[in-house]
Amino acid sequence: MISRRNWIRYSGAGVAASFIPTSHASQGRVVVIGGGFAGASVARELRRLNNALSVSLIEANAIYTACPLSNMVVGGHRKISQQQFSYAALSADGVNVIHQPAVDVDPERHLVTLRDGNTLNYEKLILAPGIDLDWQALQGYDKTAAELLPHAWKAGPQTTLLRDQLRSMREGGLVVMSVPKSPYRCPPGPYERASLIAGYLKQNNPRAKVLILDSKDSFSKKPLFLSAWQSLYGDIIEWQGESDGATVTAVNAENRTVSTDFETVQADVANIIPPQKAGKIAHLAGVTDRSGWCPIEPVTFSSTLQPDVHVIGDAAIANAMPKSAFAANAQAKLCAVQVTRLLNGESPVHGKLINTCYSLVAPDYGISVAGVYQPGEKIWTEIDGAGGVSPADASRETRAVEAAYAQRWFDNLTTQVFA
Amino acid sequence: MQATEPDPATAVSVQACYGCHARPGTEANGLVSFSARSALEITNKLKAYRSGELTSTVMNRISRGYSPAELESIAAHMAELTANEAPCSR
Repeated sequence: MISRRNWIRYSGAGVAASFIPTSHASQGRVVVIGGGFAGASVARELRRLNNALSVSLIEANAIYTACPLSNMVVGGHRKISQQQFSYAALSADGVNVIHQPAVDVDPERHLVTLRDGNTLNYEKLILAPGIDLDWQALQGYDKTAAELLPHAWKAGPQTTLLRDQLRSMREGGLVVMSVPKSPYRCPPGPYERASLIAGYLKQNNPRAKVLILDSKDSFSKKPLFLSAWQSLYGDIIEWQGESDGATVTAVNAENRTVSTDFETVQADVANIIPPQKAGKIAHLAGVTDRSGWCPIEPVTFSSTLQPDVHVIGDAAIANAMPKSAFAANAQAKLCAVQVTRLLNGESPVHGKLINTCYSLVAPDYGISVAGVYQPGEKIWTEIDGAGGVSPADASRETRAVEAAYAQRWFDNLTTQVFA
Repeated sequence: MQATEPDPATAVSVQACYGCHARPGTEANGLVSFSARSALEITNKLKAYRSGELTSTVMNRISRGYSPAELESIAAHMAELTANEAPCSR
């Protein structure tokens, strides 16, 4: 009770009304940490479901830079500004948006500490911290190295750095990509990126090559990618998997070399996508397990490790559901329903979720993977007989339709979440 | 009564659809907006996707994740949301 009285009221524009105490039973305090597709969606959705709820969103950045379609920025087809969104619409919806990092969570006292030392009390905490890159996982790859060998796996300056390195690469140069083992954010993302880099090279640096050094043997939509690479880009892209000994074990940023157990490759541009884990605040909150990710009760996305904490988006272990923006948004909408019901003393709902991920092999060549998922007692499973990838024999017209859908999906989702 | 208060699982399923499709009452920039307004039209279309009678990009794959009865409930709820929001959005 004392901690509740200490709860800090942040005055965001137009949100004061939502903080006026009322006698409604449905009034509750929800704090969301992380303003990506999961966090921004759940914050907005909670207010839509029950505008008596006090919802605070803690997000360090004032502008969000979205990852989906950011490979089109790398390939020179989109501007980074087309990936960027503000939180103004969330504030207008009565979400109390706080632009600073959360530095600690005390699950016992239901307390979040912000960088400036202020604290927020919650009845329900929703963690949507996304990923952190694991700077310990790959020898020679730390934050400083990433300034020379970009990961570009969080969209923003890293995305434009990779784009600019491609543009200034010598004629006939070699682009090396390092791809981690699963799980990681956006399973087909590295292969979409390789495609769009190859497209850029074909146009602008036709003797240059892309070498993908992969830590696994199979990947999302592999047959579709391999066949499209062959027909669109000939021999520009070479892919090597784990069985080929391609697992990257070390990099040297100064020399721009990438090493496996078998060889050291001299790159002209190296895009190192390192292993990942749940965002730091999830670790501080004590909701991660030894895998580095967050185990959840499937139906509610509540943490199995701490009470009154839910985890959604890339940080959560959602089993068959991939770490994608679509899944993050779908999980957020479900979690908002569950949190609203739990605060009202109602039982959670068993609902199915969908995922659809488009990949652009070229701006006019799209392929997709879809799935329908149901929560079991322990895990989210994919429903047999549903889902799957685009047909191998689809026409170029169908590929073009899916490419257009990829862009319209992005527009729809970002409108729903940020506009 | 059933029309105004869908079962919560149906409501959850429909929200997932709006990952791609424009949510009624918002700017219609979604993948495909629901021009088919009646529950019957939407049901027939979803069932045709499920059976493969109608082909599309992802809808065949997604509709097979639901039983015909679930598709009927989803369609009914979608039609209702679309009808409720239509006057404001146009």
